[in-house]
Amino acid sequence: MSAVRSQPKLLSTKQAAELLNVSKRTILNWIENDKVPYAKLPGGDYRVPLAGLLASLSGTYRLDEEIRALDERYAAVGDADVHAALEDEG
Amino acid sequence: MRPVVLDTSVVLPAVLSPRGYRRRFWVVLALGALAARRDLLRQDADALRAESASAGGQAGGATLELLAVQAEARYALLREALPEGCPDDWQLVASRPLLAEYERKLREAGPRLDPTLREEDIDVVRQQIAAICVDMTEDFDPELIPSYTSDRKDDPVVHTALLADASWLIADDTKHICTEPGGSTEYQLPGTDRRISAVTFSRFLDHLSDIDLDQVDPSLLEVAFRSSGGG
Repeated sequence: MSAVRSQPKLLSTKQAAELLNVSKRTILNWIENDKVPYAKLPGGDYRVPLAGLLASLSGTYRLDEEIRALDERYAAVGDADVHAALEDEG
Repeated sequence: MRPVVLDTSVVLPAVLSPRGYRRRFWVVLALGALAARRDLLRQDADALRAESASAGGQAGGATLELLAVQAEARYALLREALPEGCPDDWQLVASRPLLAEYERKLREAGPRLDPTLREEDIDVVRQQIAAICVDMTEDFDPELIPSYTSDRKDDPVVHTALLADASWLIADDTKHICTEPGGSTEYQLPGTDRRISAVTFSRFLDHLSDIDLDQVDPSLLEVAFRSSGGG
């Protein structure tokens, strides 16, 4: 595979849920609330485009605000602190 | 395009250490994600229309064209804020098993940094990482991949980098992944001639000649995710 894929990827709701580690119900909620792009197939199944799903995350989560809040809490944490915590894990 | 795959030893400092150098490179990767996404979203729009038309279904939800416009706006804003000449072709590639490994390590190591780490925080970090990924490799079962390292838990990141044909696998794990001190450790996909080089982050900086990370404001990360697309 190359870095920029030649073929767009359309995911089932199950694949999308597994990818983001959320429930299939969450993906269906996003679809029902028009939070993510999708195609509805005649049988009732959905297809969700990968790039569209990933691009939608800042709309389904307030990532800018969440990142700012996390950064404020971790303001004193340095790279070495994280490495030390990872080493403890082994 | 320069695809990179990052080990947890690089990703977790990038997301949890707001002023660190890994976060600064993370911001450069965010710019790369926005640059690539403009094109990928348009490809996806065509694919979605084709899928809907061929199957007799209908497209709906957030429009890909709108998402592409938002990505363009965020790109312009971030580009403006970054140093002139900041490259936008570094792209983060991951895989489903690698995202799962990031989360596993975050759950184990995160509480040592902050005992109050909440489930919502883990969720946000995971979505942040996914949002910076430009692409995902084909899925694989970590139990069924070749053995590349001395620690089976580190094999998925190597396998991901090989599937992604990455320019670099960046890892600060010198025990199992970057085992060549001061140099690069080479890995090969069995049965093919595909190879990748694994380097530590500090060694990688030697190859990052087109940007001085000292000039990158690490707090710019949030610009890449502004919900209003720059407004």
